[in-house]
Amino acid sequence: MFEGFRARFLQPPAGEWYRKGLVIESARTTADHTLPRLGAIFPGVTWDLLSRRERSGFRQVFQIKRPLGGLRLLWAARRSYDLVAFFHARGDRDLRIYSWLALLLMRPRRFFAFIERGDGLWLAAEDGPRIRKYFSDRYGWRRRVDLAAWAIRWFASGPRGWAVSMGRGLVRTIRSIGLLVYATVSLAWAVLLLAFFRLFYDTRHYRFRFFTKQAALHPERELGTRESPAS
Amino acid sequence: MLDLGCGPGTLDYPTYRHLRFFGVDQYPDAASAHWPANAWLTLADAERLPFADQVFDLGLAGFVFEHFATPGAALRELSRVLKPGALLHLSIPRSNSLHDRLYRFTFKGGGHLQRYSLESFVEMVYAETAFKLEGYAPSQGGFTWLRDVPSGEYLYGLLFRSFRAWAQLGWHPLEASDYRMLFRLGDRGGYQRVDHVCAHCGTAFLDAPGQGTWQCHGCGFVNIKVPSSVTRHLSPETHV
Repeated sequence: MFEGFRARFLQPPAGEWYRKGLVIESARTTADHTLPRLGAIFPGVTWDLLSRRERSGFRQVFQIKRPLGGLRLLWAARRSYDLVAFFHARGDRDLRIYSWLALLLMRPRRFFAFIERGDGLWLAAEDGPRIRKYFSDRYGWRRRVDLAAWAIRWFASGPRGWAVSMGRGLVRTIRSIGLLVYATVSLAWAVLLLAFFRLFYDTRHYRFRFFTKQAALHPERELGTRESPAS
Repeated sequence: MLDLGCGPGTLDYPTYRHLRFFGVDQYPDAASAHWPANAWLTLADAERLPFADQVFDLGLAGFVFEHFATPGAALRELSRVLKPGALLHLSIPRSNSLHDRLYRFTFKGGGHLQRYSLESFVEMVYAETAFKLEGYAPSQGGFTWLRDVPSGEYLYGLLFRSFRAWAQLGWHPLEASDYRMLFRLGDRGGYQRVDHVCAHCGTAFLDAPGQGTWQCHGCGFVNIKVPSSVTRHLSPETHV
């Protein structure tokens, strides 16, 4: 019963839902071998590229010549794409500008895809269905007009959703408090032991001060009368 | 290669058979009796090294300068015995770090006569010698000194787990406990301290007139002048 629902909403088949995509790329941070992997994740999609560099493998490449040089493109093509992917949105100021502008201006038919670490998990071909589901669940705000998707979101944001989020928050808080107590107690115990050695252990002769006969048991340590231990 | 403050041996000498090591320390270490044929131990003060001028190609001084009463004299001796252009690898603890504080707390000072920060140490090196900093790296404290106390392994594990928990909470007290630095002996010593840098254009000046503010000669930006009472040790001066 849910197969059709799953195929339509949770694991949308590539090429049927989206055929035309735009990649906004940071030319300074994206490795050359990462962009071609997009084809494995979103098969059947024809990509355009907004970048500072000329690259092959795209239908069109819009080169950014200056800051905000791609603004007109974002505005003119705001409804033209099915999905928009950001590559390495962190670490590049201009790309952050474009990602925010794209989020403000563009209305892709399906969703935005934030691919901030393009060379790892996100672009493994076998993870394609899971990644598409993640993107469509998280960034598929255009789908809210769809009644079924809206119902799912409404259900998750109801009292049950609140209970789940409150429970997770509670668990995290308890975990942080426990970690804080553990870190404090263990550090305090270590400092207490060090204070004990400071008071009762003679590092020059390697013996406790209240066991003065211990020195005779370790004559080899008396070879060098060092002024202090190695630091 | 000169290994100043070698103790039992800063490096694993047999690994570097193509090098000859001359270890210098004030006290003998039991391990030095088992050193290989390419390493020799000399008992001497760092302020008066018993070597001729310009004989060493490399210098190594790992965590010894905090023990010296007169580190400037030791630095001058190092610059004397090293060849021009020779490299010097130096390690110092950052005295404000928790790692060094714990060490000094446990061993009642532990022989650390000097308190260094990266800036103060480099300033001293530049004032005393012609060594120029080529690179440096902050490193975490390793608690190697816990070997000298009973149940040191237990203590190390305790501290390790504690600091790992602190790190998960966002506090990294062991970061930059020590500094590893690489100097190269240049042909000219001294330095010029620049203590007025325009906040707008970045142009540096040795001195800036004016009382409360000073105006940049390059861009005209009006900067706030820091009172000399605050930067007592940062007064404009030239060491040549």
